[in-house]
Amino acid sequence: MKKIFSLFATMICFCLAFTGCYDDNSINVYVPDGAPALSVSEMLYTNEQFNENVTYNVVSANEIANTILQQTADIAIIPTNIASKLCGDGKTYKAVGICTFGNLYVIGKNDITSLNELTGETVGCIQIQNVPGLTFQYILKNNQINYTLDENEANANNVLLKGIEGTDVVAQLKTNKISYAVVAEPLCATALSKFENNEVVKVFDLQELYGANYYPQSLLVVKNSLIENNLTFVKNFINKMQNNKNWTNENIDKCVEAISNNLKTGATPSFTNNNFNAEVLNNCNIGFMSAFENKDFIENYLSNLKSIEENAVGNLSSEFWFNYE
Amino acid sequence: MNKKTKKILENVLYPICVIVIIFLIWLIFAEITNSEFILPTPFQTFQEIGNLFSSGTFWIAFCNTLLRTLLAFLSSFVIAGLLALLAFKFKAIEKILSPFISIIRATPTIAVILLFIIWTNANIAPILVSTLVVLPLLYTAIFSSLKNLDKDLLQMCKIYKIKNKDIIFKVCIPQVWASTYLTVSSSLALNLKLMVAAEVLANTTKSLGGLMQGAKIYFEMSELLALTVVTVVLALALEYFVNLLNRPIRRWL
Repeated sequence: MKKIFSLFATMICFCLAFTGCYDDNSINVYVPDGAPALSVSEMLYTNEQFNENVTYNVVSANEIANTILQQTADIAIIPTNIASKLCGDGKTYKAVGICTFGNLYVIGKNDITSLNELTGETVGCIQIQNVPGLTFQYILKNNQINYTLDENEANANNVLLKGIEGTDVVAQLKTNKISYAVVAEPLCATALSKFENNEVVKVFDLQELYGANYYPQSLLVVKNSLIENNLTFVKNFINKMQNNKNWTNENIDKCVEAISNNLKTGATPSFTNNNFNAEVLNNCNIGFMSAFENKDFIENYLSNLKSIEENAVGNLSSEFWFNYE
Repeated sequence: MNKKTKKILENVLYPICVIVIIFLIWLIFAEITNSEFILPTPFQTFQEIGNLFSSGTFWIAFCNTLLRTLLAFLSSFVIAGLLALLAFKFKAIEKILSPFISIIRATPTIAVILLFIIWTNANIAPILVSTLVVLPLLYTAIFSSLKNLDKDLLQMCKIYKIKNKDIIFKVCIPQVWASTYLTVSSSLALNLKLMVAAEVLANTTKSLGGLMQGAKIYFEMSELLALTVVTVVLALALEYFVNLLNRPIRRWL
């Protein structure tokens, strides 16, 4: 009996010890490493608090969805299609703005000018089942170019799309397993730097190929409770985001530090002083637009993705949009 | 309690009770999390299993994964059998093979998967991975059963000048099968698990692993759990199938 009681008491103490670790009063901002983190780089660099207790977290792209699922994020930047899946009902989070407008490029060994020249080739694609792959498939479909994801169906009349990890792009190009690759900045710049004498070049800008020169790649979502309890903070945050692009243009040398200082210890940063410059910043296509004012544009983009993969997009309720104006 | 009732209790009721307890725990946790994106309820999952069974895409993926598993297992079995036989016959080969088998056994499975994905393609890599990882298990089981053959029985066969063919098929193989069939059945199930894991990492199209990867990416947790349940049932079915074959094989042998 004594043993059971002491074990029970130990468990209670153990649980209580961790309650102090969770600060209920802090506002937690989560952004994925890469272009989305650039869109809040000024706030990351200055650790902007807005007279509140704000914690900034730069996480890997794989972890960002969990911050929404577990509702640890009060503010987050997430891929548009994932936002539609996890928050589309508007019951927990609302879409506030578009933060990145497309940073995908096709690189390859031959400097081609037409998508038709991809026929018969193997194109590696990062995140083939998410925004990069779905956007590229939509572009191919829209240009009446046959493609397949099945190696057994590949032939001279179609494009074989192969899902690859970002870390494999260079190796796959060097070993001729792929002729072209769909990559995002800054991976694009990093991969190109591994080839000499223009052996591999940038051939297509997916944003141009999409038709509108940009598409809503990621959204800023805010927890409903934060909007209800602290609208002033939300508006101040948005205001900073609207001015962020100017800050990054004027403080290119500070962007890498801004992001890496808020990365989890031990995580490999996307941006380093070797791969980040004005051109990469420009190619990351960051900015800020109201999601509410551009909901037709967002819905149209999601509908295009849905035409490729129905499960990739969730249903959007009218509650999903937040008009901060 | 008579013998028949006891047998029914042991073979039927106890497993059913365990399954019911698992489902109850699952249901409780699903209600606590209250989010289909984290943990759907058993009912949502079984509904999704029904949806899968009516989908042609699922059956194509199921058959492809099963065929790859059987191909990988057969390859493993044949190679392991041949190597074990050679090692049993020639001491030098046993000594040469021993470190290789140890290295293969010690190599992390994930490293093997990642390497084969780079060296081959999404369709071949899972087969090679499963073949290679199961090979040491089968080799060790077959080799040790060969070493533990009844030497007195073999000597008696020599004395009575029994034909070599009869020694192999009527003495050696039955003894080897008797001591390895459990390893065979568990290796087949392991092969399936490895196949699905490799398919997920390799993004193999038209496969159970590929469907799981898609379900995970799109937060279709019901579908992911449904595919997991199907894979578990398939693994148990494969084990049961081998155990079922055991008696007729032994009778035939």
